[in-house]
Amino acid sequence: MIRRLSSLITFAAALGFVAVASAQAPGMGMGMAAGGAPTAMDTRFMDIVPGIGEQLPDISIVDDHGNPVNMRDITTTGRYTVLTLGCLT
Amino acid sequence: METVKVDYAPKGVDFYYIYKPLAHPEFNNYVVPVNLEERLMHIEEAKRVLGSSITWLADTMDNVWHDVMANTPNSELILDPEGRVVVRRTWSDPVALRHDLEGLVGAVDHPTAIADLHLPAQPRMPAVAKGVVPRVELPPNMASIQVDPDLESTDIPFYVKIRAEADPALLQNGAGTMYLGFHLDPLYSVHWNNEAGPVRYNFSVPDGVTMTNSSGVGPDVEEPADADPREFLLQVDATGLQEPIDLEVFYFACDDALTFCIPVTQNYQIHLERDNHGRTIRTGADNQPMLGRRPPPTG
Repeated sequence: MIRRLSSLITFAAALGFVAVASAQAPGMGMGMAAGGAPTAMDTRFMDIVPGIGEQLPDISIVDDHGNPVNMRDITTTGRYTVLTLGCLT
Repeated sequence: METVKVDYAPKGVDFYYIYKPLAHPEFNNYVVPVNLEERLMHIEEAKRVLGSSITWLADTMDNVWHDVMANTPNSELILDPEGRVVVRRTWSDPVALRHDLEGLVGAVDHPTAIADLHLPAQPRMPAVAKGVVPRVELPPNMASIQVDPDLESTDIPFYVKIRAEADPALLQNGAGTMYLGFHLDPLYSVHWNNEAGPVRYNFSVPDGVTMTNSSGVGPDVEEPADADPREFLLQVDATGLQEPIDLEVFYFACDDALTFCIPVTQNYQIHLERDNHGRTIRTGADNQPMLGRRPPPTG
C-alpha cells in the first residue's frame, strides 16, 4: 500500500499536479515552503494574481465541452471554491 | 487533491481543475494542443489517467486564465462564498489545502485516504517502436518560441506537432540556433510510416534572412514504423526581421489501428520571439535535459 501510494504521488507529480508536503497557515497567501525564500515565480505570482480579499477578473474560460464559463459566476455561488491550475505534464 | 475534494465537497466547497498550456512538453510523449478541441482532448486524457472526480475547465487558447495566474504551472486559489480570494499559492499543495479548509469550514472526522479511491496510474503507451531515432542534443538555455499553425487551411488534425525553440542569441540578437522538432501527438494514436516516406519541411526564407537547413527531410529508418520525434537544428540569421517565417510541413499520417495512411501538408508561422505560455524540456539549475533526453553515460 505504501509503495502504491508513493508511486501514485510520483505519477501525480509527473503529471503536473504536485503533492508537496509543506503545510502553511490559512490565508498566509504564499506558495513556498515555510522558511523558504521566494523565487522569481513566487514574486511574479504575488504581484500579478488577485490578492487576498479581491475578486477574480470578469473573464470567461470554457468547460470540458467548450461551453463558456464565467469565472465570477462560478465563484460567487455561496460556497467556497478551490481553483487549481494544471496540465497533463 | 482527490481526497480533499471527497471530504470537503459535502461541506460546501467546489473544486475545479483549470487546464493550461503544457508545463513539460514531450514528457510521456504529450505535445502542445493547437486548438481548443485538442485542449479538450487533453482534459479527456487527464480524466482517463487521473480518474479524477473534480470538475475540469479549460483555459481559452488565448490563455487568459494562465495570464491572470502569472503563467504559473500549478498554482491554486481558495475563494470565499462571495468570490474573494482567501488563500493563494504558487504551487498546489493538497496538504496545505486540507489544512486551510479545516480552518475555513471545519475538519472532517475520518479523512479519506488515496488508497480508498482506487485511482488509475497508467499513462498511454506508444503502440510502435520508440528509441530508434537518436535525439538531438540541444544547446543550453533554449526557450520555446511562438508557433502558429494555419488552422484555416486544413480540416485534417495536426497529427504531428511542431516544437520550436531558440537560443538566447537568436531571441536577443536575431542570430543564433533554432530547434525544430516534429512530434507525433499520442492522443491521435498515429505513427511514422517509414515505408511511405519521411517528414519533409520547407521554410519560406524572407529576403535578408539566412538559414541553414531551411529545407529538410527526416532520416531513413529501418524500422517500418516508429513514434520518435524528427528533430533538426538550424542556424538562423534574421537580424532585424519583425515578421514570422512561413513553414510548410509534409508527412504521411498513419494510425496505429492501420485504418488510414494519408499524405498531409500543413502550414505554420514561426515567430522568433519567446512563447510566454510555452515551456522547454530542460529543467534544473544545470539546464540539463530531463526525462530521457540526457545522453547515456560514457566510460
